[in-house]
Amino acid sequence: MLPKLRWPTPDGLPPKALWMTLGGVLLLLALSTPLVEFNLLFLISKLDDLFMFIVRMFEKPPPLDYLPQLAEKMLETLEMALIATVLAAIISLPMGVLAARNATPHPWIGQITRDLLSFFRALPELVWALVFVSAIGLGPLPGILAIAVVSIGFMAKFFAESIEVVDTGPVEGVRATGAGWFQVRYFAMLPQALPDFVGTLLYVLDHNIRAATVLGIVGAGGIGFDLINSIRYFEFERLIVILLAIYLAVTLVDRLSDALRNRVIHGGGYRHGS
Amino acid sequence: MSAIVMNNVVKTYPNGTAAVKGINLTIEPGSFTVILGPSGAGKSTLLRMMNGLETPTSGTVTVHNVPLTRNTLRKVRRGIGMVFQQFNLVGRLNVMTNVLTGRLAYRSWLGSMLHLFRKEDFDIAHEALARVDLSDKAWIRADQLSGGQQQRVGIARALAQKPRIILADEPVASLDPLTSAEVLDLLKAICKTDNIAVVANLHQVEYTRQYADRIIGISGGKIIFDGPPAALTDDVIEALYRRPEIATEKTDVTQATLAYA
Repeated sequence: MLPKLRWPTPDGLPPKALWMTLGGVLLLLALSTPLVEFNLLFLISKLDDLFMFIVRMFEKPPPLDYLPQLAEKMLETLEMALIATVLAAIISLPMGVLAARNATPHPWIGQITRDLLSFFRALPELVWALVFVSAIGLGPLPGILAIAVVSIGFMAKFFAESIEVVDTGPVEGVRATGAGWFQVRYFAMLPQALPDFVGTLLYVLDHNIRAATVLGIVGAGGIGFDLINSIRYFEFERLIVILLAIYLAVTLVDRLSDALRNRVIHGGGYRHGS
Repeated sequence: MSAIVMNNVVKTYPNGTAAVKGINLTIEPGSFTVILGPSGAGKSTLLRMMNGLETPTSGTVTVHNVPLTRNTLRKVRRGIGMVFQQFNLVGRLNVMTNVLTGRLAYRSWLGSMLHLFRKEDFDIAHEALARVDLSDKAWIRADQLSGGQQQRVGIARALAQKPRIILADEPVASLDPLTSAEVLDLLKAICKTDNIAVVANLHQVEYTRQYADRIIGISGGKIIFDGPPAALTDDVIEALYRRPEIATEKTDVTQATLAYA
């Protein structure tokens, strides 16, 4: 007799692909937890330590005399992210055109550009920051370069993808007038890809602010240096203030870019001349 | 001097489809030529080879005595306006900018990088827009216009090139009958007053009879009729649209449509 509740499949049972996948994932988890020493019992036994750590953050009153320096460092962090993003955007635009399969001057140039971009993306900001700190010394500049390199890797890739999906009709329409290589890309492809570009740019800016907060750990400027020092010297009352400031800054920029993105994408955007 | 001379032109696509199978054709200046034929006859490929959007597999295309090659491509295209079935405007740009793209081939890439155009280019664009009766829409985004209006912008873009030839690839296939007549009237008027040769692909026999000076009937990639509208008899039309190999398929389609309805 058929049960009353059935899956929407011929035999009324969950599809094989579904429970096989779930089973596979569970098996993989069971096999890998000893390897990374993930032990739930151990975690539970450490819960009181974790609790003490949180208590210690609120033991002392927040250090008000630290606030001016905090503001300065947060501003530096935001500026690093902003400068790196703008720098990366300027370089990403031509690189995106070179990387896009339908816009590149030659398939080889496209392939080389895409390989270069994937190399930029392969290492996280922190590793690039270590490289640039070793090369040119401490300070915000190596941090900016590190963020910019990774941003180019992502932004140019996304730009290229936006260009690759543009409608071919307008491109042909402009090409048929006898317009040149550059003119066809500039007047037929870029206007179509522009809303996507703005979305990508704001997303990358968002990400870069988060990235900029940690680069100070390796001496590449921003709030990260104070963050790591607070932990090192057990100044937990300062740590909580820094974490709070980062949270506020990230949320604020997130809201701002959301509003901006909505205006550009849904509000008409590129309407020059009107 | 003939506007366009095609000599033994063949086009076979990489997938093996032979779209055009050896066509010799001469288009005279100032004439309104309609290429008539069923879908898939090779009309579009033939037209697109006239301005190098498709390259012939063999044979030559000569435009005003200039052979169409890689080196002459842009210069030849500059003198040939093209109007498309889907209008092919850049929707996010305003009407004026779309018309001004017809001037790009006369200008360097450096100037166009700043989106700057000369006053004379604006004058030409304004004149072209007045010609298609869309002067009041100059600063509206192209994708805000109706189909008929967009096609008129397409014609204005072609006019801005100051062309000697206009190619029209199914210019009215996406338009309603009233708008279609407007667009064809406009093309015919441009042909006659400016002495611009117009070559249009059409699949509607009625429009073809009404507007053409000369009709070229294409079927299976070959010319099977070439003459004035008066010579286009019902027999010729039947020969053009007869496709025995897919006749059965056609009834199937009808039945399927009926079943669906």
